[in-house]
Amino acid sequence: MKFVCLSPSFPENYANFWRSLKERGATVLGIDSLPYDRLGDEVKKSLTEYYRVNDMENYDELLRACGYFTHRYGRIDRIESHNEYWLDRDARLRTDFNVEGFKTGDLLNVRYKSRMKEVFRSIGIPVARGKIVRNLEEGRALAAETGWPVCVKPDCGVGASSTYKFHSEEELEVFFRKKPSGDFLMEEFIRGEIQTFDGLVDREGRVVFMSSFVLPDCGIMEMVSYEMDTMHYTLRKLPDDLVDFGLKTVKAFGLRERFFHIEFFRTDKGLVALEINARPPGGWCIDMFNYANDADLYDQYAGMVLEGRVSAALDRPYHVYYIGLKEREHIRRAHGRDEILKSFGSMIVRHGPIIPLFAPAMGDYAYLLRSSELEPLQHAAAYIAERA
Amino acid sequence: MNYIFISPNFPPNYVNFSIRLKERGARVLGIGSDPYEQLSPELRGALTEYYRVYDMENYEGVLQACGFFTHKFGKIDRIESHNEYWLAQDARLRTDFNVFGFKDRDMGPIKYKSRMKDVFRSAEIPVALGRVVRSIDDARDLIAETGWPVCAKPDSGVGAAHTYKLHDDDDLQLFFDSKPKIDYIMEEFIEGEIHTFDGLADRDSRVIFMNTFIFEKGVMETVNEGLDMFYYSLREIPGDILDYGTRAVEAFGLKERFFHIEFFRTEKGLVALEVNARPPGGWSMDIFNYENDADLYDRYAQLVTEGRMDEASARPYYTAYVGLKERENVFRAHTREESVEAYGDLMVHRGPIESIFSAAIGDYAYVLRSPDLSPLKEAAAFILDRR
Repeated sequence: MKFVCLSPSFPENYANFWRSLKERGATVLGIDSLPYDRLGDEVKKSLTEYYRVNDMENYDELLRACGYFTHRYGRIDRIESHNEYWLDRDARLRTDFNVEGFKTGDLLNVRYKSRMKEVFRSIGIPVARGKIVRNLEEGRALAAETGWPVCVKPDCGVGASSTYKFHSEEELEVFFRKKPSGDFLMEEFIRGEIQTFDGLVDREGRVVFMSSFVLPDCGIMEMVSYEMDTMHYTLRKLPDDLVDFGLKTVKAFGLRERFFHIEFFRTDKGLVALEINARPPGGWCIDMFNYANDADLYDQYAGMVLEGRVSAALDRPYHVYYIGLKEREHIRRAHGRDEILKSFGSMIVRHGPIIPLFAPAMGDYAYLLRSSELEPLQHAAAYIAERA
Repeated sequence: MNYIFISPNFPPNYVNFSIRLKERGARVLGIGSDPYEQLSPELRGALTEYYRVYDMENYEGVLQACGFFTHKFGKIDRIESHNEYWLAQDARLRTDFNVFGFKDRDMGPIKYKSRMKDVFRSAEIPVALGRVVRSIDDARDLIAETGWPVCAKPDSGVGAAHTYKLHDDDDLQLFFDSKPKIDYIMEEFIEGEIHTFDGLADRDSRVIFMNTFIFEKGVMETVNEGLDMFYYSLREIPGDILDYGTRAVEAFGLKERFFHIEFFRTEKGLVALEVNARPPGGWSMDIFNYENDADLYDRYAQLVTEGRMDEASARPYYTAYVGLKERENVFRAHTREESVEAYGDLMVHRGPIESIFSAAIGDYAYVLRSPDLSPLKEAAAFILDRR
């Protein structure tokens, strides 16, 4: 198995994927623009060969790199970065080298939120009312149906970047006056906690691992926009409606041999689909899967790619709680780090700083706690995040 | 444009494709198993690089060669052999490198005669009654409909190899006793001359160059009975051939390719025999050129590099191909020298045929041309005359 990984040293924890793939017998081939000596030791050890390009945004260089690997090692079996930003590029390379996985033509439904909405609708999963708005008039007309506030986001965009919440026509007018280029989708604003359906799907489209995060009170959108701390936790028992919608979604989008991350709002009237991501949830989420299951999902993924199956029992014996604290000069905490570790050290499985790129969404310093019960975790989270 | 030419030195006249492509600005990259030193100087001059593999039948090696070219020159734009034998491998390489042209999934109707028949039928082009037969009983059921004789040929096969004409049940028994373990298609035997529709289709499956050859005897009989080969081109394409031919090109999705479509001309009209997604073999490309006072290698190169082609002249000549079997037991009425003396003014080309083709098209051949057909037939009769 020849596995080409793009940007093997980003994010850092994905080095675990490459190590597991190598340990299970794959030839792991890396492409990136970093000089070889700046790759981490773990990555260096995992790669059979590294091809350095000058610019990862220059597709021709990547194509030639894959040409080189094809020449040297024969047919490439997988091309993967597990990274939202590179989804299109990964798919294009797969198309150009006829490699298993999402090809360029398969990607539109997960890339464009408007098409995503259509797919959700086609399988009877409720979505927020909304559509692409091209000008203020169209926005005004839609708001007349949905009421204020509304949520406006790029039709093709990653995470919560360039995502806005508008409370009035005046705010919408300001937006349209200097609207960035590209299509924007406007939707009714949905209230409710976010429940995700995450997991791993095998080559035949069977979900072989599932998990759910609950993001209380507000979504990433507000966390990015305000200086709020980030909290989410994994469920041990997944609600039936979530599993039902989740499995239908994985099937409808044709996901294969991939991690996925699907977001729903839990509203008074039930679940409303927000979006699907054809990659693992970011930050420390894979590590949270690991703590929640006492398993190694990096390695389970490698096993699925190489042997077509997962071997671990992934039945979620623990809840895992993520608390990402914003560290700003004007934010004062009621309890210091030492105090926190002293009080809840038995539950804390990991703590450490978050890299700046992820900090707006994930906080600057994070704690992972786990317990078989949710209540003590909530208690600890409130303590850790308490502001003075 | 990166144009990979598979086996660029075969057949020898196809070297002209590489030469013209280079002249038109394409970067021509060759893959073959012959040592570089064995390529002609003209071909070496046309190729930017040649990658020698040990065995063209080893797909992985050819794939790695294309990987090398991708690495060195960037995205590959075309992969082509213009050769029936490599059609499937060309398609596989195009699939694996996402290159314009026939991919694996397009090959079914070209490769399997049974599926070809289905496509002809869907385009409402008449075909011989027949289908794949799995057993002798199955064959007898079919023959109850068609009557004797029948024609049996591999469902997936090139040219007239392993093709049989069966006259009665004894032949059928013998055929089933000795037939290789591959699918065979059995058809009613169609009597008639073979008339072709050949040409070049552009990227939108429009026919931008066309030709019709008339074969006085079927190729199969030529091979099996050791007959000479004689065929000639028409100056006017008959209306029914033009109609069926253009429909077939469209139905088979032929794009930016030469093609060679064979029909039987029967009392009841045309019956489609087969489609070949490559130029007709032997010297046919050169015959196109003599027929039109044009260079079709270059027109093709223009089509590939510019997406369009200058209008070809409208066939100012009839041409004829006269291929002679030169065997010990064949005695000619006239020597080569006598033929040249008598009809040299009509001859535009003559010479020996490579042994690999000689079973089908003769050991020594003449190409004749004239604005009129009758002098060509007269000359052919003279040249072919046996004692």
